[in-house]
Amino acid sequence: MKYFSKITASHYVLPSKVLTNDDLAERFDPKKVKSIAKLSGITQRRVAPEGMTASDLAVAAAQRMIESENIDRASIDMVVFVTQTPDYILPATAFIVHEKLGLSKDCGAFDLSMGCPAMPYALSVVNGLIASGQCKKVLLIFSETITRLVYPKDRSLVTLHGDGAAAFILEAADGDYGFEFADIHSDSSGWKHLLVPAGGMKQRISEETKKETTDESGICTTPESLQMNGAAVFHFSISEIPPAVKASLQKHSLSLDDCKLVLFHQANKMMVDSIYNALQVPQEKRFFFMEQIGNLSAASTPVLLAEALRQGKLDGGGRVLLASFGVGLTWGVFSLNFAPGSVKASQASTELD
Amino acid sequence: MSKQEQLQEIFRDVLDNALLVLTPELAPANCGDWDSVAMVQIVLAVESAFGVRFSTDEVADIKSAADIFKKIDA
Repeated sequence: MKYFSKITASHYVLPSKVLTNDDLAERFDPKKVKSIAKLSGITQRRVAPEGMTASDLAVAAAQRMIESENIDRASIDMVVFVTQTPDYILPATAFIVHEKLGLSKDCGAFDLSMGCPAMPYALSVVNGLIASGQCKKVLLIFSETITRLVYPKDRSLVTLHGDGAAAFILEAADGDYGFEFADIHSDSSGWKHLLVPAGGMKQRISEETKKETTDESGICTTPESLQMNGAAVFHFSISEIPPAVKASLQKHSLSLDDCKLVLFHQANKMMVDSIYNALQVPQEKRFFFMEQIGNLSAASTPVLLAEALRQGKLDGGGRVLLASFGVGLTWGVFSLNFAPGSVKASQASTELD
Repeated sequence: MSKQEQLQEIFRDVLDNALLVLTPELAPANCGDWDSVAMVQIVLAVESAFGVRFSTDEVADIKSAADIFKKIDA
Protein backbone atom coordinates (compact mmCIF):
# COMPACT_ATOMS: atom_id res chain seq x y z
CA MET A 1 0.00 0.00 0.00
CA LYS A 2 1.04 3.58 -0.56
CA TYR A 3 0.76 6.12 2.20
CA PHE A 4 0.30 9.80 1.50
CA SER A 5 -1.51 11.20 4.52
CA LYS A 6 -2.08 10.45 8.17
CA ILE A 7 -4.11 11.76 11.09
CA THR A 8 -1.86 13.56 13.56
CA ALA A 9 -4.40 15.12 15.96
CA SER A 10 -8.01 14.62 16.96
CA HIS A 11 -10.77 15.86 19.22
CA TYR A 12 -14.52 15.91 19.41
CA VAL A 13 -17.24 17.96 21.08
CA LEU A 14 -20.84 17.21 22.01
CA PRO A 15 -23.57 19.58 23.19
CA SER A 16 -24.12 19.21 26.92
CA LYS A 17 -27.91 19.21 26.58
CA VAL A 18 -29.28 15.68 26.95
CA LEU A 19 -32.56 14.15 25.75
CA THR A 20 -33.24 10.91 27.61
CA ASN A 21 -35.60 8.04 26.89
CA ASP A 22 -37.63 9.12 29.92
CA ASP A 23 -38.04 12.55 28.29
CA LEU A 24 -39.25 10.84 25.13
CA ALA A 25 -41.67 8.60 27.01
CA GLU A 26 -43.50 11.78 28.03
CA ARG A 27 -43.86 12.74 24.36
CA PHE A 28 -44.55 9.40 22.70
CA ASP A 29 -46.14 6.04 23.52
CA PRO A 30 -43.72 4.60 26.14
CA LYS A 31 -44.09 1.14 24.57
CA LYS A 32 -42.89 2.45 21.21
CA VAL A 33 -40.00 4.35 22.82
CA LYS A 34 -38.96 1.17 24.61
CA SER A 35 -39.13 -0.82 21.37
CA ILE A 36 -36.95 1.66 19.49
CA ALA A 37 -34.54 1.91 22.43
CA LYS A 38 -34.16 -1.86 22.38
CA LEU A 39 -33.31 -1.75 18.67
CA SER A 40 -31.06 1.26 18.79
CA GLY A 41 -29.33 0.74 22.12
CA ILE A 42 -29.59 4.49 22.61
CA THR A 43 -30.55 5.61 26.11
CA GLN A 44 -29.88 9.31 25.62
CA ARG A 45 -28.83 11.65 22.92
CA ARG A 46 -26.95 14.99 22.87
CA VAL A 47 -28.97 17.80 21.36
CA ALA A 48 -27.72 21.22 20.31
CA PRO A 49 -29.82 23.89 22.04
CA GLU A 50 -31.51 26.66 20.09
CA GLY A 51 -28.86 28.92 18.62
CA MET A 52 -26.04 26.37 18.59
CA THR A 53 -25.05 25.42 15.06
CA ALA A 54 -22.69 23.00 13.36
CA SER A 55 -20.03 25.72 13.12
CA ASP A 56 -20.18 26.28 16.90
CA LEU A 57 -19.55 22.61 17.57
CA ALA A 58 -16.84 22.48 14.93
CA VAL A 59 -15.02 25.57 16.20
CA ALA A 60 -15.08 24.26 19.76
CA ALA A 61 -13.64 20.88 18.71
CA ALA A 62 -10.96 22.42 16.52
CA GLN A 63 -10.04 25.24 18.90
CA ARG A 64 -9.58 22.90 21.84
CA MET A 65 -7.52 20.50 19.75
CA ILE A 66 -5.31 23.31 18.42
CA GLU A 67 -4.72 24.77 21.88
CA SER A 68 -4.23 21.56 23.83
CA GLU A 69 -1.90 20.02 21.25
CA ASN A 70 0.01 23.23 20.45
CA ILE A 71 -0.83 23.12 16.76
CA ASP A 72 0.42 26.07 14.74
CA ARG A 73 -2.81 27.33 13.21
CA ALA A 74 -0.87 29.49 10.74
CA SER A 75 0.40 26.29 9.13
CA ILE A 76 -3.07 24.92 8.37
CA ASP A 77 -3.55 25.37 4.63
CA MET A 78 -7.05 23.95 4.10
CA VAL A 79 -10.25 23.55 6.12
CA VAL A 80 -12.61 20.85 4.92
CA PHE A 81 -15.97 21.02 6.65
CA VAL A 82 -18.29 18.04 6.35
CA THR A 83 -21.96 18.45 7.18
CA GLN A 84 -25.50 18.12 5.97
CA THR A 85 -26.69 20.79 8.41
CA PRO A 86 -24.79 23.89 7.33
CA ASP A 87 -25.24 27.20 9.13
CA TYR A 88 -26.46 28.79 5.86
CA ILE A 89 -27.42 27.67 2.38
CA LEU A 90 -24.43 29.77 1.38
CA PRO A 91 -21.65 30.60 1.93
CA ALA A 92 -20.01 27.33 2.92
CA THR A 93 -19.85 26.93 6.69
CA ALA A 94 -16.13 26.26 6.32
CA PHE A 95 -15.63 30.03 5.96
CA ILE A 96 -17.34 30.72 9.26
CA VAL A 97 -15.10 28.13 10.89
CA HIS A 98 -12.06 29.62 9.12
CA GLU A 99 -12.89 33.09 10.47
CA LYS A 100 -13.60 32.00 14.04
CA LEU A 101 -10.40 29.97 14.23
CA GLY A 102 -8.35 32.88 12.90
CA LEU A 103 -6.84 30.84 10.09
CA SER A 104 -4.48 32.24 7.48
CA LYS A 105 -5.46 33.91 4.23
CA ASP A 106 -3.28 31.24 2.65
CA CYS A 107 -5.67 28.61 4.00
CA GLY A 108 -8.55 27.58 1.72
CA ALA A 109 -11.93 26.38 2.92
CA PHE A 110 -14.80 24.36 1.52
CA ASP A 111 -17.76 22.25 2.57
CA LEU A 112 -18.38 18.68 1.68
CA SER A 113 -22.07 17.82 1.83
CA MET A 114 -22.41 14.26 2.99
CA GLY A 115 -24.14 12.52 5.87
CA CYS A 116 -23.50 9.23 7.61
CA PRO A 117 -21.19 7.83 4.89
CA ALA A 118 -19.03 10.97 4.91
CA MET A 119 -15.79 9.80 6.44
CA PRO A 120 -14.38 7.65 3.62
CA TYR A 121 -15.27 10.34 1.10
CA ALA A 122 -13.72 13.14 3.13
CA LEU A 123 -10.55 11.22 3.89
CA SER A 124 -10.22 10.37 0.18
CA VAL A 125 -10.46 14.04 -0.75
CA VAL A 126 -8.01 15.19 1.90
CA ASN A 127 -5.64 12.36 1.05
CA GLY A 128 -5.68 13.59 -2.53
CA LEU A 129 -4.94 17.17 -1.51
CA ILE A 130 -1.94 16.05 0.49
CA ALA A 131 -0.76 13.41 -1.97
CA SER A 132 -0.72 15.97 -4.77
CA GLY A 133 1.43 18.25 -2.69
CA GLN A 134 -1.18 21.00 -2.79
CA CYS A 135 -1.71 20.91 0.96
CA LYS A 136 0.58 20.13 3.86
CA LYS A 137 -1.73 20.40 6.85
CA VAL A 138 -5.49 19.99 6.54
CA LEU A 139 -8.06 20.64 9.24
CA LEU A 140 -10.89 18.17 8.59
CA ILE A 141 -14.04 18.65 10.61
CA PHE A 142 -17.26 16.66 10.67
CA SER A 143 -20.13 18.45 12.39
CA GLU A 144 -23.89 18.02 12.53
CA THR A 145 -26.93 19.48 14.20
CA ILE A 146 -29.04 16.77 12.60
CA THR A 147 -31.64 16.99 15.35
CA ARG A 148 -32.68 20.30 13.75
CA LEU A 149 -33.82 18.36 10.68
CA VAL A 150 -35.77 15.81 12.72
CA TYR A 151 -39.45 16.66 13.20
CA PRO A 152 -40.20 16.68 16.96
CA LYS A 153 -43.23 14.43 16.46
CA ASP A 154 -41.30 11.82 14.43
CA ARG A 155 -40.68 9.16 17.06
CA SER A 156 -38.69 7.00 14.61
CA LEU A 157 -35.93 9.61 14.26
CA VAL A 158 -36.13 11.71 17.43
CA THR A 159 -35.18 8.56 19.31
CA LEU A 160 -32.10 7.94 17.16
CA HIS A 161 -30.29 11.15 16.43
CA GLY A 162 -27.91 13.39 18.30
CA ASP A 163 -25.52 16.25 17.46
CA GLY A 164 -21.78 16.61 17.65
CA ALA A 165 -18.49 17.39 15.91
CA ALA A 166 -15.08 15.79 15.44
CA ALA A 167 -11.93 17.53 14.23
CA PHE A 168 -8.76 16.04 12.82
CA ILE A 169 -5.47 17.30 11.51
CA LEU A 170 -4.06 15.42 8.55
CA GLU A 171 -0.51 15.78 7.30
CA ALA A 172 1.83 13.99 4.94
CA ALA A 173 2.52 10.38 5.86
CA ASP A 174 5.99 9.12 6.57
CA GLY A 175 6.71 5.43 6.58
CA ASP A 176 4.15 2.67 6.31
CA TYR A 177 1.40 4.31 8.31
CA GLY A 178 -1.55 6.49 7.53
CA PHE A 179 -4.63 6.46 5.34
CA GLU A 180 -4.55 3.18 3.42
CA PHE A 181 -7.62 2.95 1.24
CA ALA A 182 -11.28 3.83 0.86
CA ASP A 183 -13.46 1.53 -1.25
CA ILE A 184 -16.63 3.48 -1.96
CA HIS A 185 -19.89 2.21 -3.46
CA SER A 186 -23.28 3.68 -4.30
CA ASP A 187 -26.79 2.46 -4.92
CA SER A 188 -28.32 5.72 -6.05
CA SER A 189 -31.67 4.03 -6.75
CA GLY A 190 -32.15 4.39 -2.99
CA TRP A 191 -31.63 8.17 -2.78
CA LYS A 192 -35.25 8.76 -1.84
CA HIS A 193 -35.10 6.52 1.23
CA LEU A 194 -33.27 9.18 3.25
CA LEU A 195 -34.48 12.59 2.23
CA VAL A 196 -35.36 16.11 3.32
CA PRO A 197 -37.85 16.94 0.55
CA ALA A 198 -38.08 20.71 1.00
CA GLY A 199 -35.55 23.48 1.48
CA GLY A 200 -33.46 22.91 -1.61
CA MET A 201 -34.11 24.15 -5.12
CA LYS A 202 -36.49 21.29 -5.94
CA GLN A 203 -39.08 22.44 -3.41
CA ARG A 204 -38.64 25.81 -1.75
CA ILE A 205 -39.86 26.49 1.77
CA SER A 206 -43.52 27.57 1.88
CA GLU A 207 -46.65 27.20 3.97
CA GLU A 208 -47.21 23.90 2.20
CA THR A 209 -43.87 22.50 3.34
CA LYS A 210 -44.77 23.07 6.97
CA LYS A 211 -47.85 20.85 6.83
CA GLU A 212 -47.75 17.65 8.83
CA THR A 213 -48.44 14.24 7.38
CA THR A 214 -48.86 10.99 9.27
CA ASP A 215 -48.20 7.68 7.54
CA GLU A 216 -49.89 4.33 8.11
CA SER A 217 -47.43 3.41 10.85
CA GLY A 218 -48.10 6.61 12.78
CA ILE A 219 -44.92 8.48 11.82
CA CYS A 220 -45.58 12.22 11.74
CA THR A 221 -43.36 14.52 9.71
CA THR A 222 -43.25 17.47 7.30
CA PRO A 223 -41.50 18.00 3.95
CA GLU A 224 -38.96 20.24 5.73
CA SER A 225 -37.83 17.36 7.92
CA LEU A 226 -35.64 14.31 7.54
CA GLN A 227 -37.63 11.37 6.25
CA MET A 228 -36.27 7.85 6.32
CA ASN A 229 -37.69 4.55 5.22
CA GLY A 230 -36.23 2.77 8.22
CA ALA A 231 -36.81 -0.76 7.05
CA ALA A 232 -35.29 -0.14 3.62
CA VAL A 233 -32.20 1.59 5.04
CA PHE A 234 -31.75 -1.07 7.72
CA HIS A 235 -32.07 -3.85 5.15
CA PHE A 236 -29.62 -2.08 2.83
CA SER A 237 -27.05 -1.71 5.61
CA ILE A 238 -27.01 -5.28 6.82
CA SER A 239 -27.14 -6.60 3.25
CA GLU A 240 -24.37 -4.50 1.73
CA ILE A 241 -21.84 -3.83 4.47
CA PRO A 242 -20.68 -7.35 5.41
CA PRO A 243 -19.91 -8.38 1.82
CA ALA A 244 -18.30 -4.98 1.15
CA VAL A 245 -15.99 -5.41 4.13
CA LYS A 246 -15.09 -8.92 3.04
CA ALA A 247 -14.42 -7.71 -0.50
CA SER A 248 -12.18 -4.89 0.72
CA LEU A 249 -10.20 -7.18 2.97
CA GLN A 250 -9.65 -9.55 0.07
CA LYS A 251 -8.82 -6.75 -2.37
CA HIS A 252 -6.14 -5.37 -0.07
CA SER A 253 -4.85 -8.75 1.09
CA LEU A 254 -5.89 -8.16 4.68
CA SER A 255 -7.79 -10.11 7.29
CA LEU A 256 -9.48 -9.18 10.53
CA ASP A 257 -6.34 -10.50 12.26
CA ASP A 258 -4.49 -7.53 10.74
CA CYS A 259 -6.87 -5.06 12.38
CA LYS A 260 -6.67 -3.70 15.90
CA LEU A 261 -10.18 -2.26 15.75
CA VAL A 262 -13.16 -2.58 13.42
CA LEU A 263 -15.45 0.43 13.60
CA PHE A 264 -18.83 1.02 12.00
CA HIS A 265 -21.06 4.03 11.58
CA GLN A 266 -23.11 4.11 14.77
CA ALA A 267 -26.52 3.92 13.12
CA ASN A 268 -28.09 1.81 15.85
CA LYS A 269 -26.86 -1.05 18.00
CA MET A 270 -28.94 -3.83 16.47
CA MET A 271 -27.65 -2.96 13.02
CA VAL A 272 -24.03 -2.66 14.10
CA ASP A 273 -24.23 -5.89 16.09
CA SER A 274 -25.71 -7.65 13.06
CA ILE A 275 -22.81 -6.49 10.89
CA TYR A 276 -20.19 -7.43 13.49
CA ASN A 277 -21.77 -10.86 13.90
CA ALA A 278 -22.04 -11.45 10.15
CA LEU A 279 -18.31 -10.75 9.86
CA GLN A 280 -17.45 -12.65 13.04
CA VAL A 281 -15.46 -9.72 14.36
CA PRO A 282 -13.87 -10.70 17.69
CA GLN A 283 -15.31 -8.87 20.70
CA GLU A 284 -12.03 -7.16 21.56
CA LYS A 285 -11.97 -5.46 18.16
CA ARG A 286 -15.49 -4.03 18.50
CA PHE A 287 -16.13 -0.56 19.83
CA PHE A 288 -19.35 1.38 20.35
CA PHE A 289 -20.01 4.98 21.17
CA MET A 290 -23.68 5.68 20.61
CA GLU A 291 -25.64 4.63 23.67
CA GLN A 292 -25.17 7.95 25.46
CA ILE A 293 -24.95 10.28 22.48
CA GLY A 294 -27.11 8.99 19.60
CA ASN A 295 -26.53 8.65 15.87
CA LEU A 296 -24.60 11.79 14.88
CA SER A 297 -24.97 11.42 11.09
CA ALA A 298 -21.79 12.65 9.35
CA ALA A 299 -20.08 13.07 12.72
CA SER A 300 -20.89 9.55 13.88
CA THR A 301 -17.91 7.54 12.61
CA PRO A 302 -15.49 10.43 13.19
CA VAL A 303 -16.58 10.89 16.82
CA LEU A 304 -16.35 7.13 17.30
CA LEU A 305 -12.76 7.15 16.02
CA ALA A 306 -11.92 10.26 18.05
CA GLU A 307 -13.23 8.60 21.21
CA ALA A 308 -11.20 5.46 20.51
CA LEU A 309 -8.11 7.64 20.11
CA ARG A 310 -8.99 9.63 23.24
CA GLN A 311 -9.28 6.40 25.23
CA GLY A 312 -5.79 5.44 24.08
CA LYS A 313 -6.93 2.38 22.14
CA LEU A 314 -4.40 3.13 19.43
CA ASP A 315 -1.55 4.47 21.54
CA GLY A 316 0.36 1.32 20.69
CA GLY A 317 -0.49 1.73 17.02
CA GLY A 318 -2.47 -0.59 14.81
CA ARG A 319 -4.80 -0.76 11.88
CA VAL A 320 -8.39 0.41 12.14
CA LEU A 321 -10.85 -0.91 9.60
CA LEU A 322 -13.97 1.22 9.28
CA ALA A 323 -17.19 1.29 7.33
CA SER A 324 -19.63 4.18 7.03
CA PHE A 325 -22.94 3.93 5.20
CA GLY A 326 -26.28 5.61 4.67
CA VAL A 327 -27.76 8.53 2.79
CA GLY A 328 -27.43 8.28 -0.97
CA LEU A 329 -27.47 5.34 -0.60
CA THR A 330 -23.74 4.95 -0.38
CA TRP A 331 -21.18 3.09 1.66
CA GLY A 332 -17.43 2.99 2.08
CA VAL A 333 -14.96 0.60 3.66
CA PHE A 334 -11.73 2.32 4.64
CA SER A 335 -8.59 1.77 6.62
CA LEU A 336 -6.20 3.80 8.74
CA ASN A 337 -2.93 2.34 9.98
CA PHE A 338 -1.63 4.18 13.04
CA ALA A 339 2.01 4.24 14.12
CA PRO A 340 2.53 4.00 17.89
CA GLY A 341 2.03 7.33 19.60
CA SER A 342 1.37 9.08 16.31
CA VAL A 343 -1.85 10.91 17.12
CA LYS A 344 -2.24 13.80 19.52
CA ALA A 345 -5.71 12.92 20.81
CA SER A 346 -6.78 15.91 22.83
CA GLN A 347 -7.91 15.30 26.40
CA ALA A 348 -9.63 18.69 26.54
CA SER A 349 -13.29 18.84 27.52
CA THR A 350 -15.74 17.33 25.05
CA GLU A 351 -18.72 19.27 26.40
CA LEU A 352 -20.20 22.40 24.88
CA ASP A 353 -22.86 24.43 26.68
CA MET B 1 -45.80 -27.05 5.65
CA SER B 2 -47.24 -24.79 2.98
CA LYS B 3 -45.70 -21.44 2.13
CA GLN B 4 -48.68 -19.77 3.82
CA GLU B 5 -48.06 -21.71 7.02
CA GLN B 6 -44.33 -21.05 6.91
CA LEU B 7 -44.93 -17.35 6.48
CA GLN B 8 -47.48 -17.34 9.27
CA GLU B 9 -44.90 -18.92 11.60
CA ILE B 10 -42.45 -16.15 10.74
CA PHE B 11 -45.01 -13.47 11.50
CA ARG B 12 -46.05 -15.19 14.72
CA ASP B 13 -42.44 -15.38 15.82
CA VAL B 14 -41.44 -11.83 14.94
CA LEU B 15 -44.62 -10.22 16.22
CA ASP B 16 -44.62 -12.48 19.28
CA ASN B 17 -48.21 -13.56 18.76
CA ALA B 18 -48.76 -17.33 18.73
CA LEU B 19 -52.40 -16.90 17.73
CA LEU B 20 -51.85 -14.57 14.80
CA VAL B 21 -53.71 -15.57 11.65
CA LEU B 22 -51.86 -14.31 8.65
CA THR B 23 -53.89 -12.82 5.84
CA PRO B 24 -52.72 -10.78 2.86
CA GLU B 25 -54.45 -7.76 4.39
CA LEU B 26 -52.25 -7.75 7.48
CA ALA B 27 -50.25 -4.51 7.35
CA PRO B 28 -48.35 -2.03 9.53
CA ALA B 29 -51.43 0.18 9.24
CA ASN B 30 -53.62 -2.36 11.05
CA CYS B 31 -51.02 -4.17 13.15
CA GLY B 32 -49.44 -1.98 15.78
CA ASP B 33 -46.54 -4.32 16.48
CA TRP B 34 -45.48 -4.37 12.83
CA ASP B 35 -43.06 -1.46 12.90
CA SER B 36 -39.83 -0.90 10.95
CA VAL B 37 -37.90 -3.14 13.36
CA ALA B 38 -40.35 -5.96 12.82
CA MET B 39 -40.34 -5.28 9.08
CA VAL B 40 -36.61 -5.92 8.84
CA GLN B 41 -36.87 -9.02 11.00
CA ILE B 42 -39.69 -10.36 8.85
CA VAL B 43 -37.80 -9.61 5.62
CA LEU B 44 -34.62 -11.29 6.86
CA ALA B 45 -36.54 -14.35 8.05
CA VAL B 46 -38.40 -14.61 4.73
CA GLU B 47 -35.14 -14.31 2.78
CA SER B 48 -33.60 -17.07 4.85
CA ALA B 49 -36.60 -19.38 4.80
CA PHE B 50 -37.55 -19.02 1.15
CA GLY B 51 -34.20 -18.30 -0.47
CA VAL B 52 -35.41 -15.01 -1.91
CA ARG B 53 -33.68 -11.62 -1.87
CA PHE B 54 -35.53 -8.34 -1.45
CA SER B 55 -34.06 -5.24 -3.02
CA THR B 56 -33.98 -2.05 -0.96
CA ASP B 57 -36.83 -0.65 -3.06
CA GLU B 58 -38.91 -3.77 -2.54
CA VAL B 59 -38.46 -3.49 1.22
CA ALA B 60 -39.43 0.18 1.04
CA ASP B 61 -42.57 -0.69 -0.94
CA ILE B 62 -43.93 -3.40 1.38
CA LYS B 63 -47.34 -2.15 2.45
CA SER B 64 -48.92 -5.41 3.59
CA ALA B 65 -48.39 -9.15 3.85
CA ALA B 66 -49.75 -9.37 0.29
CA ASP B 67 -46.48 -7.85 -0.97
CA ILE B 68 -44.53 -10.56 0.80
CA PHE B 69 -46.81 -13.31 -0.51
CA LYS B 70 -46.18 -11.93 -4.00
CA LYS B 71 -42.43 -12.14 -3.51
CA ILE B 72 -42.35 -15.74 -2.33
CA ASP B 73 -44.80 -16.82 -5.03
CA ALA B 74 -42.81 -15.11 -7.78
